[in-house]
Amino acid sequence: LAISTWAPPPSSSPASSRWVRAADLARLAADPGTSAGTLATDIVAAWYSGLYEARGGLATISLASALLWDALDFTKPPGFCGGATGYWADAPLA
Amino acid sequence: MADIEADVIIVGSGISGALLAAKLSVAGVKVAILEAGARVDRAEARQRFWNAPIRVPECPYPPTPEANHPISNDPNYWYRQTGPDTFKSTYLKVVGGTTWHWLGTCLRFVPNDFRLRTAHGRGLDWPISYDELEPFYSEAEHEIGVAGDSNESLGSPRSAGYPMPAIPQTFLDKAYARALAGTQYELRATPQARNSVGGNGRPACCGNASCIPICPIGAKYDATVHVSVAEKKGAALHAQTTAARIEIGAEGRVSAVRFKRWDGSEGVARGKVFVLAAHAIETPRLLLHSRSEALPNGVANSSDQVGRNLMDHPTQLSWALSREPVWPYRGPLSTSSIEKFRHGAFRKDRPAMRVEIGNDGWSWPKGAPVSTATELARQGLRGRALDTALREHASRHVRLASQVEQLPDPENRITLDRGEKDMYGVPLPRLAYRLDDYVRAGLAAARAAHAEIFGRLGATGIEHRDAPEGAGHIMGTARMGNDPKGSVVDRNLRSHDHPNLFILGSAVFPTGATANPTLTIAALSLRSCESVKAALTH
Repeated sequence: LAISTWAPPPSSSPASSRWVRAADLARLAADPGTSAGTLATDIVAAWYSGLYEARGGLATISLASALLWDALDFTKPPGFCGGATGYWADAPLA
Repeated sequence: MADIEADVIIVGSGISGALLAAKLSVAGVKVAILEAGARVDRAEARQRFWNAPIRVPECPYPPTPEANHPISNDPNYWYRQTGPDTFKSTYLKVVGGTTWHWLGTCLRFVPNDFRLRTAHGRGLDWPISYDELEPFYSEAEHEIGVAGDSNESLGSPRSAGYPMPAIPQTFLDKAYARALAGTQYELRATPQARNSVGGNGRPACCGNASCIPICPIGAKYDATVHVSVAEKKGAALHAQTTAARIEIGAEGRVSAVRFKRWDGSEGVARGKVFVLAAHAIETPRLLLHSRSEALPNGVANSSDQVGRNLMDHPTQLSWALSREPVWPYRGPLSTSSIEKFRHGAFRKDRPAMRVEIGNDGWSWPKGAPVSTATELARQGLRGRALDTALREHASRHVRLASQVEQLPDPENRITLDRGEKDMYGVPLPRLAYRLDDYVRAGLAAARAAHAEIFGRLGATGIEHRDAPEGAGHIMGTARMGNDPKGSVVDRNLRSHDHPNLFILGSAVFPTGATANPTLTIAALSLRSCESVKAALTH
């Protein structure tokens, strides 16, 4: 069965606002009180998903070290061993 | 002097070619395999999966100009589609074929799948019966190493048990089973080509939860197992070698396969018997492209059936949020299903269907849980609130996928594109594909069943994908039959037109039934071995 045929839908926000922009970062570093649009949200989304919008399209920072796997303490990133055969038959220990 | 010589030349190193190559090699027959793709390094493939932003089944095995193939995120990348519906199923060109990213489900057909016309007045009958194939199903289950419950026939009578005990069902499966107790929706453990115990040279499954696109430890069977057996017994594997033309000599016998390598060199492979095992798009593509003045319809095509009757298992995908946490995203991607609708008198009116329970949450419909993290972060959640919401949400992701039977239709077909060619000069595959009312009735029945099952589970937010998904099950483009006027190969998979040409794989299926096709592909390959050996001496 062809699982995971999913591809990301086009984002509703304009492309320019979705890039983690170097200029915005510099501005924010100089003055943490300033507003940098969606920059903070972009950064948190990237930390949690391990993905970010690059100029060439969606790009991977890391699958395994994305913060979402810390939140999903009942499992682990795909492609990593999860335990002994049959661990999945019971509720997670967390 | 040929560049490659053997008793048997096999085109394709996926499961159908690999099993035959192994069985022939063990019997002392000299075999050469031509494989368009390259060998896959498992660790590198896993790394490509981790690095891919779009995690489709092909992401660890990206197509290249030298070994091009379809990709799930763009159905028009390789196929030239004329519609009206979109054909979505794909395949790979690598050593070991598409078993690199199969799920591993190993179901037999039910007996009436071989006699759909006689039993239900639909489609046509196969030229062989369940009883004739049964011993080879058992042999295939042992070769592949299928884990299953030997006391549960799932409607397909068994002469032997499974070689290893069933893969344990998930916590999620058991939640469904409790909710569905006493209804018609009886959950069954899925027989699968995944080690529940080690001991056959491969480890037991440790729940990487990435069967598609890759099992990083080889607990899931793939055809490199039998490629390796064949090579150890003397078979020659020629990777990065694309069969580009079949040549016909005296008395209608195949005389050679012309091939081209990635480095641009060309050569000729000669043998006594030739076997096409290149799956249900590339096999007809090669046959059609090999046309000549003497054979204007192409090779093995006096029936005009080559390329016709393209089938899939159109799949209704639905997803919802369960009431209680069911802890998805753990274990093999599917371990249970509802098999009882794969047969019954209703098949005269609507298709049989197979309801698969997913352990993979919303990864298929939504790219979750990664997409869930993005969504919740964009809602403005931060820190502990974000963690809590993410865990609370993703632990309740459930999905169902029902694959329905699609009848053979001669107008659903692969032909050669008139304009575009690949780097070997072979025209790209052009597909015409229409889903009929029979399929649509099946998809509607699937949606109704999904709604009822989710309802029993107390699930909310039920969603159904509008258009059917492909199941990855490409079938029917070189059908087998007793009548040379209406079929491409005979009951032993030998071409009606060319006595030393055989065709393996799901291309030969007259009808598609609802079982995932791989085990039947394997059984047919093993059954063909005696006929191939007999053809060596005639």
